[in-house]
Amino acid sequence: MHLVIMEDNLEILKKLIINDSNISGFDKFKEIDEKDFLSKIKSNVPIKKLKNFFCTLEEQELVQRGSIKKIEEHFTERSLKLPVKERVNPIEWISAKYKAVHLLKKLRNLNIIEGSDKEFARHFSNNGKELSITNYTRKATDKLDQIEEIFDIHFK
Amino acid sequence: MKNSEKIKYIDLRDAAENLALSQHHLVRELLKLGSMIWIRFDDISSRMVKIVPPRSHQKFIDYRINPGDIHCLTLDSSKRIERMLEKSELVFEGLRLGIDFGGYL
Repeated sequence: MHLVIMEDNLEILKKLIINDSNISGFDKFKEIDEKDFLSKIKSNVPIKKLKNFFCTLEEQELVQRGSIKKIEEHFTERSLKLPVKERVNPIEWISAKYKAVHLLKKLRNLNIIEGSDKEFARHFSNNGKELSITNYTRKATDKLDQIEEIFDIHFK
Repeated sequence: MKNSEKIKYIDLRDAAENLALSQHHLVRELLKLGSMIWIRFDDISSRMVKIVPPRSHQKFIDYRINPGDIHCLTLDSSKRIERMLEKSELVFEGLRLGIDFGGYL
């Protein structure tokens, strides 16, 4: 029997090591900052189903083309904390921000995916910036029919 | 495990060498990150282990571990590994695995 670790974790630790040959042992590590570690979002539905959902979001020009290829990098069905690789870019939302806020909150409320506002903000972007869904209230003028119809197709 | 989510593993010893760290230091940092420690079983023989059932159930359930299988240790057992590595006294007996088996672990 051998003890093993996930290769992805090795990559994260490499980033945390201070490159100074005079330092050894525990002092070799920088304090672990939450910025250094981003876990994949837990999906409670099969990844294939989530991919189909994002395929429709792409077709409807709500997320950037090619987002579907990133699904497995951002989501997992596993309960373990799995790190997102460093080079993986967030999923870019290209439509109105309020639609993204509604969509992510609804995905969470329906228990389709799990995660905090802070985590979602790092997995999704809007105009190249983190997509914050915190403190965002729904307005009477928000047009959410398109999002609701997409939910009906995939999760009803 | 889903094929699309195939995870790659590396021996703890090789990883520690790669980072120029002791295995103990490496395990401690991994636990701080909330990462799991895993066991890769040998490629020759299969083993039977007992699944610990919920309290309401009486019987333990036998579970076969196939040659080459990889299973994660529970957090308690991972911490035990850290303490054993600190003392350079690694013993696998009595360690618990987190095996997802019909709702049991």
